[in-house]
Amino acid sequence: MTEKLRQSLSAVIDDEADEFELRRVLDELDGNPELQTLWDRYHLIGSALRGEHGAAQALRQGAMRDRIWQALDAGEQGEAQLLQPMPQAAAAVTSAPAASRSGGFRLGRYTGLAVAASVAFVVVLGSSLLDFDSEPSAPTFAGSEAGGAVAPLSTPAASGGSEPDMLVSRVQRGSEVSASDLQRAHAYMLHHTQQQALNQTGVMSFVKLATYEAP
Amino acid sequence: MTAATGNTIATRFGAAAVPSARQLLATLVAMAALLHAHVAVAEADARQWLDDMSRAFSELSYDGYFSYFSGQDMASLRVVHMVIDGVRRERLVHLNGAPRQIVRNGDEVACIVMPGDALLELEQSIPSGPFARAFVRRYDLISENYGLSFFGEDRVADRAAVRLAVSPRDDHRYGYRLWLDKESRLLLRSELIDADGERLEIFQFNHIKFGDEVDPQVLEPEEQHGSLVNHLTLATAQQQPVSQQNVAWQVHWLPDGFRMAAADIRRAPNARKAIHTMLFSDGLAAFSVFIEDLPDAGAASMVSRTGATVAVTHTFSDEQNRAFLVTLVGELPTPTAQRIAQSVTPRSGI
Repeated sequence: MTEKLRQSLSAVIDDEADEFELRRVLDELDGNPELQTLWDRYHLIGSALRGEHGAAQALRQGAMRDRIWQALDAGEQGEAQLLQPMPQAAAAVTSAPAASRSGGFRLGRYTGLAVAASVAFVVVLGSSLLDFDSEPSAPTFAGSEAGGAVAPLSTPAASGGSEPDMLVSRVQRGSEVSASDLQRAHAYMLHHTQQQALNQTGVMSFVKLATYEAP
Repeated sequence: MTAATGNTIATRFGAAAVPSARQLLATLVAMAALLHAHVAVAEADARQWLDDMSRAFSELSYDGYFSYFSGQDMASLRVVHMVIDGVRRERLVHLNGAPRQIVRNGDEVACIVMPGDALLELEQSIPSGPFARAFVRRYDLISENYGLSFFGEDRVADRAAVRLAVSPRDDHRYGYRLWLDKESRLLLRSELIDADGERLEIFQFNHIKFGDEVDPQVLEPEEQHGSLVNHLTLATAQQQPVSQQNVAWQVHWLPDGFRMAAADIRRAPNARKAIHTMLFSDGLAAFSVFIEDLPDAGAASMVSRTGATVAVTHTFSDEQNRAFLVTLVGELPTPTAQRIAQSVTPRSGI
């Protein structure tokens, strides 16, 4: 495998790929078992870190890639879809041909970013959360190139969706869940559990504390 | 016997002429009233059972082994509980994995764990809300948000149990199915279920003994070589009710029935920055909201779920372009948790 291809793959996964790179990687993936393995491994590592099973499975089945292709193909027919802000683009990936939802934002140079973001979105999301209803409820695109998002991120899942009962972490705009994110979530979960236990807010409170495991 | 009954019915119907529409209506109304009264009685009765359950947990002597399933994990534990000279004493032992005991003596709680255990990170003191004994045990408040109904009998841990359903009145909280010991009214089994009836958490006694059969000696912590102890204090005295007005943050959308039970500003262990916390409860379900400055490195927008507990994050910036991170942790359906987290704003005028 060429170093260039490896870099492109890594860019896709890190949400830094442009559309050209993305297509190249997806093209290669079909006939390149080595790249497929690497793709799966990258995501499996991420998924395992977050304790996801659904995502890993879906990746193994290649379902994700199919969905992404669908989105790209649909995008060729109607460019509007690729120009949608990330959450909508992500939603579009999930319900591919139901393309032209009203009011796609014109984001110009963000086109590639939006697609790449949606790829990362879907990739870490896992198949189980993909059935959410994609109401385009005036989302705001977190339009900064990199770094912390300051604009509110709209969450498509807020409009209801299936919830797997396993531990699922979901990341938007491809921002990886870092060790400090997990650390923070863990600290807050523990704090909440402790507060409930010490306030005796239920008969299960001590049980929850006694069985507490760091996520 | 059967024939006689049949005869009686036949006679009764025979005696009455074809009922008029008015008579039918009157009968229906009477039946509806009866049914309504019946439901009301059942609800009051169910509330009484919940009250009794709560009392049984805190007043009875019991020693039992139970399983607890949450998310992907299944745990086995032993609980011993007694009230000695008016002081509640309790010991909870985790039977799987690294040794872990929680020993309670009145309001003092000690977590006896091995080095590296997550419970060592527990904070020594944590502010308590007013809802401890006052709010939570008030099952009349619970029935504003949940319907209560009996649904038959069963057997758990070789004991006769009455089944009670606690069904949420909306989609913003989870429901429970409870199996209460017929004799002592202690909780023998509980299931926490989502709107689809999916079980998110299961608690069940496998074996339990009561009263004189319980040996006080078992309350003493077992020697655990190389263990560490983290001492905590239970929330005791009634505190001033929390006023939303005094909190720098505002939650604009709350499901019906949730009230703020505690609010506090804490310091992150490794940083000097402040973390605002708020605890809300509807009497059964609870969730915490944490608000802090967005870390320099940013934060991922994430949803993390274990069993019924979900953690969601949300970032936003205020009018001065200061970016904040909201984290909500609690026993709520994900869409509800997200909607609440997204409704947090700084209180204007502070």
